[in-house]
Amino acid sequence: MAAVTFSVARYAPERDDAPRLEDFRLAVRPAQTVLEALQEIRGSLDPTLAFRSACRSGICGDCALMVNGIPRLACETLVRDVAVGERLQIEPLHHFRPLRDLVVDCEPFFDSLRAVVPWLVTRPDHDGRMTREAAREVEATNACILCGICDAQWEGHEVRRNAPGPGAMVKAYRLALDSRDALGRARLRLAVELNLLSPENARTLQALCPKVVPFGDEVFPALRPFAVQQE
Amino acid sequence: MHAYDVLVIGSGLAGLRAALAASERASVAIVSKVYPTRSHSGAAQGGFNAALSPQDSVAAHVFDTVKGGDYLGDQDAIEVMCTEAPGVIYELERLGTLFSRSEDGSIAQRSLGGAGFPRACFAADLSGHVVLHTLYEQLLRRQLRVYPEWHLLRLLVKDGVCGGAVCLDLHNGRVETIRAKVVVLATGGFGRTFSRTTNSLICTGDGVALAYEAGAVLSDMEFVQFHPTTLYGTNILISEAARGEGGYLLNNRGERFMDRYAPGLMELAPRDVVARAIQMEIKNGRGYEDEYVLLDMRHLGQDLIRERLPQVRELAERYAGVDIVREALPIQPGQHYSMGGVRCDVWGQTSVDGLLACGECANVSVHGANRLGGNSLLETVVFGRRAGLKAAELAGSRTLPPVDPAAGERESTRLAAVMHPAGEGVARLRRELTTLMTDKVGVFREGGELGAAVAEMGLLRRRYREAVVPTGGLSFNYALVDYLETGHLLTLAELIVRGALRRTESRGAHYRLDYPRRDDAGWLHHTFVSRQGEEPVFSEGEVSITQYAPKERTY
Repeated sequence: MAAVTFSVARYAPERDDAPRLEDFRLAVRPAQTVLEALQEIRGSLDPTLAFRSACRSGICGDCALMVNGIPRLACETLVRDVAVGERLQIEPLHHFRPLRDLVVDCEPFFDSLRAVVPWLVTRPDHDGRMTREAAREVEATNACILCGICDAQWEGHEVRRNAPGPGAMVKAYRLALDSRDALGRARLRLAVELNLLSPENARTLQALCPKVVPFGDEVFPALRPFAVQQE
Repeated sequence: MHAYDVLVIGSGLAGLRAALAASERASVAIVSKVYPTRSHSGAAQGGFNAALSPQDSVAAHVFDTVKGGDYLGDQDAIEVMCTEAPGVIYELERLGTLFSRSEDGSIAQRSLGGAGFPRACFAADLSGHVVLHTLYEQLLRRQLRVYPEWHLLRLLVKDGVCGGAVCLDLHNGRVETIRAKVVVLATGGFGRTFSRTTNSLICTGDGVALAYEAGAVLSDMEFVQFHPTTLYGTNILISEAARGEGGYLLNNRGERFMDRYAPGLMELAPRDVVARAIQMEIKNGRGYEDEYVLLDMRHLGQDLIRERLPQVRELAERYAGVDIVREALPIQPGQHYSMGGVRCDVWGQTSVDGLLACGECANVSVHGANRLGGNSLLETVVFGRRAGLKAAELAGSRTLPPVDPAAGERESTRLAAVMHPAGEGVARLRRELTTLMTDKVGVFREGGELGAAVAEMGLLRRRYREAVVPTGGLSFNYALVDYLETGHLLTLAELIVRGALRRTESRGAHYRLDYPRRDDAGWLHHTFVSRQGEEPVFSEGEVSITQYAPKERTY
């Protein structure tokens, strides 16, 4: 495959007022991921380029960043699928505070979970059993890896401590749908207030989620009665 | 300066479980090189072994583990793990872990390699992920303090007592000292010593290497597990669940070749047996491109694949461009698990007072010469909990041990000294090291090649001493992280190779072409190694044998 130009956001707080773009040109192999390309840039072109990565197989969420304005996991994104006219723009996740180059402040995102009582409040009468159907209902939301991509995509959002965004709401959904949970549907009051249940909102987030967590079409029907009740 | 009763280093399953247990009676902080949910435990797919069914038994679980480990596992420790397994599974379930279920609503169990019974509790093929997130929820509930993206630089040991650690806070580049009455290491494995590995980029054995430097005894470093089925090209893990659910292995003649190697258990023989079989087929010209064989899951059907193997399907599709419903998947063996680690007892206590270890970084030893699928996740929660309880107990009866007040300053000076604009970085050196390990210290080993590897490693070590970090600044300096990790990999790789060269027998995952038989008279003992001056000194450690005398191991 031909050479691709990577326009990569660079930002050093001690030097820059705002992020700027720097171009790197790289010969890309077929099936090369954006993460592998970034590793190559760091390995052979500029060792100071800062970006996060860990599992390189889409299960840890560490390498989430913006590719051509859309939040994605770098390790799951093939360069050939996203390069436009042999160009690619890589920026830090939107709605998160940039710290250096592609590294953002994740602390407020993880802290935002605290607002939704993010653990199972086990029903006192739970006997260890759960029907297959009940387990299946929770399975899809349980796949969330807390990568922050939904928070980066949700329009008008700013990731803040104690301000639950879509990522925190997935945790709330997952627990609300769990037949073992004592709080159950009562957890969804927050979701209604956030207007996350709008089907349109939900479809956009689901389409971008690396784990295809059903923010919308599958979860929404289960939540609709509650939403109506709140109005 | 920070001070806690208990400092846990590492935030995977073992570290979180230890921290939660310790926090019931002690002040606890967790230091981790990543945010907790990004730990490598989350990548584990297969499951947690536990004898839950009335048709199964703890004794059977113990025996399978002993035999699977080729009689090198400590049977007293294995008994502890298998006995406590059902309890820890039910506990996780109550905390909110979403296990897959059987028809009657009980926790479903599947077959994994080397087990005489379907014994692995699972959550589709996301078993590690779901438990990691459950424990993270509990961490939020208990409001435990986490220092994320802090890298371990040194364990503070004075007069034989561990009293804390020096870390690099990657966010601001500061060198920080944390004092603690007890330190629990839970830093995971060191698969990144090999170029072909399923392990996360972060699995560089920092804790094990630094424990060794601090004087702790390591054990069985030469026992490295190669997983039979990793994606050809990227070595991303394809779960044993793929074979547990019925997948076949096929050579280039379309034969299910496992019938020649393990006619009883076929594809579900233990990993060492299957990895050798695959490598042998490739070696004898029955692979594809001399590199891989095929994992065929087409006969399982779309419904079962969707229900039980969704992640396998997704990984194959994304990274190999193969739809496993329609095509067979190219796979090859790759490094997967480090059986060796910091030697400890069933409460995590190492040879250094005040330093405990649990999870993959530890060697208890429950896996012996070869770990069974489903036993590593189990080990993390059983022995993580135990290490946490013991840490709190020890902390209750001691004050903060004295530490060298200049240690932090010395680390700062050391880092400043390697930051230099001119000179060779470590990137190439690290590539050469990990390729060397894959080529010469892999599934099949041989004395001459191991000797050559030892010699080459000496040269790499010399180059490392000259290497620089070609950039200033400490904040999010990943070139510096790379430098530190490469140092740890070099330390550990050398111990793996030397251990492999010394052990002139074949046992479990350690296979010597020049010594193809197990030799119980000469080698039924652990390989202990500790540092004296700059040199590793090896010795023999007794294996605990309580019930099962070594027998021939066939499947």
